[in-house]
Amino acid sequence: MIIYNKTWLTNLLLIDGVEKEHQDGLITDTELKNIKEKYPVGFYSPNIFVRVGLILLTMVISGCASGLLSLMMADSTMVTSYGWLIFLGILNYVALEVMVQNKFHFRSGVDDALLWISGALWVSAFAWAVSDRYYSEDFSGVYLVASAFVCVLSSILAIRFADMLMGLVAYLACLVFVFFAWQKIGAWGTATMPFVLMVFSGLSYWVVRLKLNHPKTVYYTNSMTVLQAGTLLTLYLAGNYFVVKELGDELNGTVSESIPFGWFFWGWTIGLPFIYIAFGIKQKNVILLRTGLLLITAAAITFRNYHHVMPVELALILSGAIALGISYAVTRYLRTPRHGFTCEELNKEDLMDELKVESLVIAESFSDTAQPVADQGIKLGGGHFGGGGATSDF
Amino acid sequence: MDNPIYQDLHADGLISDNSLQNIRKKYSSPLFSLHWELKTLLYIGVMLLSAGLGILIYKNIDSISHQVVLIFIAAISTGCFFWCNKLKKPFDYAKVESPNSFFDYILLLGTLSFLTFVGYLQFQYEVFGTNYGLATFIPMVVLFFIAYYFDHLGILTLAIANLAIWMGVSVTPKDLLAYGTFDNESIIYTYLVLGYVLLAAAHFSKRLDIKKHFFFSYHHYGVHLAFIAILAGYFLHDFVPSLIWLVVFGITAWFIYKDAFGSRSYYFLLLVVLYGYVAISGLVTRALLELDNEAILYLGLMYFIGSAIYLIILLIKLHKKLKAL
Repeated sequence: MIIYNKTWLTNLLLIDGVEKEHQDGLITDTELKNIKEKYPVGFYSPNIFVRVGLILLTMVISGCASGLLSLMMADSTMVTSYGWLIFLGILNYVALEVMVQNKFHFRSGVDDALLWISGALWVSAFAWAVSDRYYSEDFSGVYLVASAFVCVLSSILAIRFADMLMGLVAYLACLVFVFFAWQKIGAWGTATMPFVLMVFSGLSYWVVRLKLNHPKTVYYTNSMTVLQAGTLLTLYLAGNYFVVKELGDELNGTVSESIPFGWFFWGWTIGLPFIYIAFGIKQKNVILLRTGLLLITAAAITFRNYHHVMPVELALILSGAIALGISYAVTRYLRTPRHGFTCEELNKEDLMDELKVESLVIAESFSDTAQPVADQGIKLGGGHFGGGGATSDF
Repeated sequence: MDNPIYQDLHADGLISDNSLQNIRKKYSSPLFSLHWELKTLLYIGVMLLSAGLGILIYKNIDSISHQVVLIFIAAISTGCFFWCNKLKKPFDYAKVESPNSFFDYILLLGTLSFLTFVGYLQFQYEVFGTNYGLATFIPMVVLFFIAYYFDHLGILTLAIANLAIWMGVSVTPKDLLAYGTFDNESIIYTYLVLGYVLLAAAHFSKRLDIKKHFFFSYHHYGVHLAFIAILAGYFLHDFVPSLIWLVVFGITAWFIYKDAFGSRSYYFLLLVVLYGYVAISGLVTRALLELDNEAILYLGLMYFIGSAIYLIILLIKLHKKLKAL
């Protein structure tokens, strides 16, 4: 099943935990060193910067190698069939297996790139093959088999390489499959679609939570985290008023003023984020809490889309002031930790620190505000162009 | 929940009694941090507020109440600055920790409303007349002052962005239509100068020990701007004169490479390697195009495969070398 050395994976989990305690100053340097010696990890997993570099370079190599091969075979008819894509996918996959098994790459960038390239090649080959066959018939058949294929393929890859995004892709493909399969039922299927998707998402979340501490999922902690967030999001979206209404119109080819059980979907849209947050606080579950906070924004936007109770600037100023107020109040309240909650930063992420992410985000989102004068200059005098380019580079 | 693991480690003699006690204490009363949630909420709050104020001005710009709006915004800005000034720790050339994250974002709100205020003044009353250089210069100076006085990295990056705007104004002709594109020599030179100014600022902040932690922001923008400008110049010129740009690139890259090793930064090392790869690949591609032969496609593809493999080995080696430092 899993391709990586299991002893090393187990050791890695242990070391990760121990390093956290070390950062908190609970374990001394020599203790950490001794533990690392006793539980060796032989993987090659560089930090994120090297990983990004290796991803880019592996993509260059893979792309150019495929190009060179295709060029050499250009005279034969092989290149113009989907079989060629399958072949290229196999080459990439073999390279991936070799790099992982012989060079012990583990999330090094090389394996990430090869994994996604071979997956993408096989999916393209499948889509090519299927669309040839189904061309005259209706397209939902293509979507149905394609989503089934993506789901199976990405599940296999996700299990073998413990890749969290691949796991998410598998789940989403499965959701899409359920959607198209249910649609096949007919009008009744379309009418009950939101409920089916809600039940499916909810069940998936429940299963993931249930299997969280299962011995078999111990190497898949990242995948399980991403899956929890993904299932929670789809659970919300399946009942979101906007999504239900627009998707229903799309499927039925109608333009509706309101939808049946509107009150239920409105309750879902507004209420569910708060339920997430409440459970997140009660269970001290980061995923529930953050998903809930994120979805409050979605709820607000959905509400504003249908009910204009106040002008936009007033809504912005009010909600901004409320956000600042809540943040201030909670910070004041938690100045000394209460009920196990604190507003202090517990473990500092080295990466966030090295890239100064916060300041870059501020520059990215506010440099528009930083140049009102220049903007007006364009209107009045028609100048100041260089500056706009400078900020857009980042 | 992690206790069995640590008990095993303790049994193996890898963890002292004291450490085990510490860990037990931590897990007996686990703390749940809301730090990033609260910070994100602050960020969203400031973003919504400043956007709302911007729209408020825009809508009221022709009505009688615009003076009220102006006073309102000025009041928010001064209020924020006044509050921050009262709370801030005394100025120091070293890093001054901010009192809390709320302080950081209130300062940001004050700064953003100040910028909106200045922009409004210029639009409505033309306080700087048609002297657009001055109209961007003053906010820029104020931004740099706030960044240093209150020790705020986010506002420093805003100030750097404003510096770029100001330089763009003073160099490019006003009726130039090129919007930040690099097909014009004077724009390339502006970016190059700006890049070097920022690199110098980064260098001197570290060297003279003035707000050393501002190094990253200056260096980050400086490295990108300088490299992009040099590469743009390189690709703009014909084959032979472009070699001069390549020499400039090499010298710049060498200094940044040395510095990346000095400050043990993987990020800047990666940037040097990747930008360097673009430059060298550019040279090879252009040399191949000069050949004008059918084989160039094969040669080009083979070059990219070989060079990328070499670069992967190089990156892995550099990573090891830097780790060993």
